[in-house]
Amino acid sequence: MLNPLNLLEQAFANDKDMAGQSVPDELKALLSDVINELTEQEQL
Amino acid sequence: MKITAVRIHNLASIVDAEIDFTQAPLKDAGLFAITGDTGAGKSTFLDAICLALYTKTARLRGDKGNLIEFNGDSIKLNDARNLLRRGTWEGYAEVDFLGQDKQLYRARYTIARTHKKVTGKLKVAEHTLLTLPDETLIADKSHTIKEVESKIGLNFEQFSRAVLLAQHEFAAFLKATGDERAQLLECLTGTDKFSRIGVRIFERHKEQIAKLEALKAGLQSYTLLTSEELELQQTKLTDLKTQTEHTKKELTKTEKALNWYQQATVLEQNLLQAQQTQQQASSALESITSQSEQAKQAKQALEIKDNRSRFTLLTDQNTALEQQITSLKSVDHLAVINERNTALAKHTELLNNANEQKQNAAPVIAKARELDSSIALQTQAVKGTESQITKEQTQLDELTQQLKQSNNELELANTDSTKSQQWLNEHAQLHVLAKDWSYYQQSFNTYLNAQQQLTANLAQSRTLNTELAGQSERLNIQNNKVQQCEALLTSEQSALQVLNTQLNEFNAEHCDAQLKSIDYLKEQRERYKQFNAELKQSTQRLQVLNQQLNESQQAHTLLNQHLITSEQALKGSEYALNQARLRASENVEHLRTELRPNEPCLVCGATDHPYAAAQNQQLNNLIIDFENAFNIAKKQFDHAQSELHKHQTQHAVLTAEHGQLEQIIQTAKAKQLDIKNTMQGARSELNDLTPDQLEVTYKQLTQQKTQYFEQQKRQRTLQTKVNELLAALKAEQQVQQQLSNKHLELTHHQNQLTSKHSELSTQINELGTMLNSQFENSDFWQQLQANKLELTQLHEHVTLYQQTQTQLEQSQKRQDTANEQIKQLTPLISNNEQSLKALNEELLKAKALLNASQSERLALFNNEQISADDYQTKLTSTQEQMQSQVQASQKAYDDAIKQRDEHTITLKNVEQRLLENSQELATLEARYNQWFADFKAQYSGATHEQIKILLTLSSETIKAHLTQHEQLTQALTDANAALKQQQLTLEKHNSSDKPTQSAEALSTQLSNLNEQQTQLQNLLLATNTAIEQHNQNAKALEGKQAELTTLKTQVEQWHLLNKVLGDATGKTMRNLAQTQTLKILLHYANSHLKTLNKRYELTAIAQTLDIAIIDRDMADEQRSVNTLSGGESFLVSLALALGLASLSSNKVQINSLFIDEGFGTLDSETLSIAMDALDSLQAQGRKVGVISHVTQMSERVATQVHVAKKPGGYSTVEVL
Repeated sequence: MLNPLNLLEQAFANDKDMAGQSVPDELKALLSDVINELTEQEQL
Repeated sequence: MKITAVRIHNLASIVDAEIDFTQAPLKDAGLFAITGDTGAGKSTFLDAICLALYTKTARLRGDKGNLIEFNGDSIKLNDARNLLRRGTWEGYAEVDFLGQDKQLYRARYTIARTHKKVTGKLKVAEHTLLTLPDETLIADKSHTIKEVESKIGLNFEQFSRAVLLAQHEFAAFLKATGDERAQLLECLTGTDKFSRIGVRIFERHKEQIAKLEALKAGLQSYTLLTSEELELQQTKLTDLKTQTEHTKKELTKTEKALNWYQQATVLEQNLLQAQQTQQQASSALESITSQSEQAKQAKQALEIKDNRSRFTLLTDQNTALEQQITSLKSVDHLAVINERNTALAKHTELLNNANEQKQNAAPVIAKARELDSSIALQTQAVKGTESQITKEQTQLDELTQQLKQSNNELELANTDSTKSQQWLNEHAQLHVLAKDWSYYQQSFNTYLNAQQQLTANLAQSRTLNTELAGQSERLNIQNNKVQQCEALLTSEQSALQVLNTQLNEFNAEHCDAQLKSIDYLKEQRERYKQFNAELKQSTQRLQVLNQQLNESQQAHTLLNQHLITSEQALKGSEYALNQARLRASENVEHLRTELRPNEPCLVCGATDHPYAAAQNQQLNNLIIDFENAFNIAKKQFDHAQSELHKHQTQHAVLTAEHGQLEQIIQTAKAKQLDIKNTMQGARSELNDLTPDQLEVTYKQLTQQKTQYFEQQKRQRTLQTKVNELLAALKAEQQVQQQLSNKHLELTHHQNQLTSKHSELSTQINELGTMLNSQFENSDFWQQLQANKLELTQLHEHVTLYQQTQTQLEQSQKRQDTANEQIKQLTPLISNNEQSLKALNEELLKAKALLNASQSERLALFNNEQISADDYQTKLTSTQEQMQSQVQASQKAYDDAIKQRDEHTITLKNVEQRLLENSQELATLEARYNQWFADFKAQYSGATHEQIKILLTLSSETIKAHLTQHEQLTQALTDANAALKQQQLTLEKHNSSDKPTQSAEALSTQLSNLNEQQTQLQNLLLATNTAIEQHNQNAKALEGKQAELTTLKTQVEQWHLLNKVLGDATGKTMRNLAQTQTLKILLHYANSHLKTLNKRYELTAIAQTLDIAIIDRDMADEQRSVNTLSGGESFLVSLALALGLASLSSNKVQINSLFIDEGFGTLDSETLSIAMDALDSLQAQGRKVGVISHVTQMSERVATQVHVAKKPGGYSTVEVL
């Protein structure tokens, strides 16, 4: 459940400006990029 | 994390206590109780745990940092050192625990007083962490807390929420803020990675923005030319190229002309050079004439050169041979032989003597060697004794020196000690201060500072009063200003409102629309008129064309008829002609006329026509008439045909023009209709107006619009003025606010100063009383109060006093040390002197023995100081020297004999050669005389001396002279030819294409043209550069624009991601993640809460970190946790604490739980339920300790740590 991508979707659902919209793939890709970067730096 | 032992010494009411959870009965008990009366010290156990681990306690957390008096120390209220038991100088709290790495550690917090005395000042607390069981120190001082946190995995706040529920802290998690909850949950679940992701998103977003800004800034540096500028540059470039080309041609032309002059100069120089070369060649040839002549003679003389060389050689040889004969004859060989024989005999005798001497010396040398060995041994013994004496003497000197030093040191120490003691006695007043100077210094310092502050405070207060009065006055003035501003603004705003109303009433759009409509109407009417005129003109032209077409049609018919008539006439003429020709061909005469000489006959084919006669003239004339008629008819037919074609063309042109006119007329009609329809569609009252009326209306509307614009302008001016007034009012209000704030601030400051004044007065009185009681009769105190003595000076005196005390102690120590050294040194010196005496006697004996041996040895070689080996070597050397002399003498004798024989043979040979040479010389002289006679015949003045000179010249020299002569002759010929050639070339150059301008004029022109060319090149380069720069920038911009677009898209995406997940601290992401964790926690907590209380259930409020309570008894109504009663809060908090413990991940394993009180708020039934819940936790391997004075609970828990309150203010601890 505590998956960053799930949290992103949750955040989208919580945001009043974006409620009801699905998360764009580009945003998911950016988040994955951040996760990969931190994983490489052994911060995750 | 699991606590295995707790030890307490002198903390609060507990003197000594140890709770070891690894020993029975606590080892086996999952749940135990710490019981005792109120105030016995139960909670001190929890304080001790917190102190040992984190140096602070949950109970003192709420206290403020005010100073309090603690047994002579002034410490803060929340200082943990308050817990040190009264009447003791040392106390500690010690906790053994199992860390997250499964390693045992011991944390210890120690409080102590100075000098190990109860009256001593409190020292800084010590905090240490050791590993167990080896008790190795791994951290101390401020590093310990960090180390403990890393070993346990929790900081103090988290520890006090999940492990230790102190009194009044039960509901802390329940009532914590969302952010606090998120932090604790993150730590407990090890999910801090989400915060890092949030922070990283924020950073990446920031980086992207920075990148975008940098790119935008970079793009600003690219400038492009406008299309006009670019076109202008390109035109300029073309012009410049043309100009450059023209200049280049001019330049080439000028250069060519200038080259002519340069070439002429070169040719003139060449001619001059050729003349010089010719003169030089001529002079050189003249200069070597005599030399050349001599060379020719010498070449001839070479014939006799060998003769003369041989003659000279033989003459020289004869002279040498005669000298050799004389020399050989002068040597007396017999005398030499006798002399050498005598020397040989003498040397033989000397050799015999040396052999005899060597033989006699052998026994003496043996004796000398024996004596040498003996002397060496004796010398060594003497040296050994001397060395020992020196060593003993050095040792004795050192000891004596040490003794002397010790005596001196003793004397000095005595003097220092007396001085120090005397000084201390004189300054006995300082004794009390020196004993505890840091305390008194602080007191004095505080007292004096307080006095200074008080003085400063009074001065400041006076200044402040003055400033406050001024400030009030300024504030009043400012208030008046603000009021004036407000009044002016109100009046301007009213005027503006009136103007706005007027402007609103005027419909500018309608006016514009009317004006546009009039313009449009006028334009359409004009167009309609134009089309009408065009239509009229086209109709008239069409009528003309129709008439022309009719006429053309009639003409066409006539021409057709004429063509038919002409064709019929032609056919008739042709038929008549053919008939006439046919008739003529039937007549022989006609055939005869057709005959031509040498051409075949049409009938028989013969080429000879003997009967050809004259023709029939009438028939011929008839045929000619027919032919003429036929030709005329044919011409008429062709003419008629041509006329018809021409007419057809004209008709086609007319028809086409007719079609075009019809088209134009239709178009014009259609457009007129279109205008009519359009005007009909947009019909308004304006359509009914005449052109003059329209013009009047147009002028009226234009005037209204001008007035409107003027009003608008006025309105804008007024608005600006109102805005300015508003800004001014705002500024004045701000100034007013600032002045008001400043006034308030000053008033507040004055109040503070008053308050501070009373505080300082109190402090001065208290400190003054205390210090007076101590030092009422002391001079320094009176001087300090009278400002005659600075505290720093007193500090120096006290420091000096302390140093003197230290010096006295050191002097006494030095006295003791010196006495001890003197005692040790005295016997050592005595022993040393005795052994030195014995060694001196031994040395004397050894030296006497050595002298006797040395005398005997010296006598052996006639008192000569020489070793046995050297003496033997000397004799051998003498013998060998004699032997070599004998050999040399023998050799000299043999050489003399041999030389005599050789001289005899040589003399004979030399005499023979002399004779032969003389004969050859005579022959050579005869030959030379003959040659000289011939030479003289050729060169009459020739002499023998001249011949000798000629013969001295070598053949190479002669050859060189002759070659040189030949070369110079050739060079002169060449120079003459070159001179002639140069003269011809110059003449030719001068006679061809001489420029009209002078060389100077051409140079100036060239210079100008070059300058012009350079300027043009520069302009060309600049223009080219501008165009190239433009092209490059355009290309680069194209690429950059694409990059900018991509980057903008990326920034937008990052912005969106950052908006929903990112921030600088990672709080957004953390709270989002911990919202989920909170749901899990509440799930765990609810499972515990079900057993504790069935009425309530915890729930998270929407997507937040806030908690609410669902009340089952009130139809599942949700309400705030703050509405729970004390007992309910305790149960819910307990459930949450248990839930937190269950939630612990691998990162933080919590196996201990301590609960302090809270049970007193529960009724008996609820208490029983709570105890059951706690009881069940031991099954999970967790140890739970509850602190309570509730009797029922004490009875329920079998394993107890009982704290018993004893008379005298202390408690004892017993594990039951």
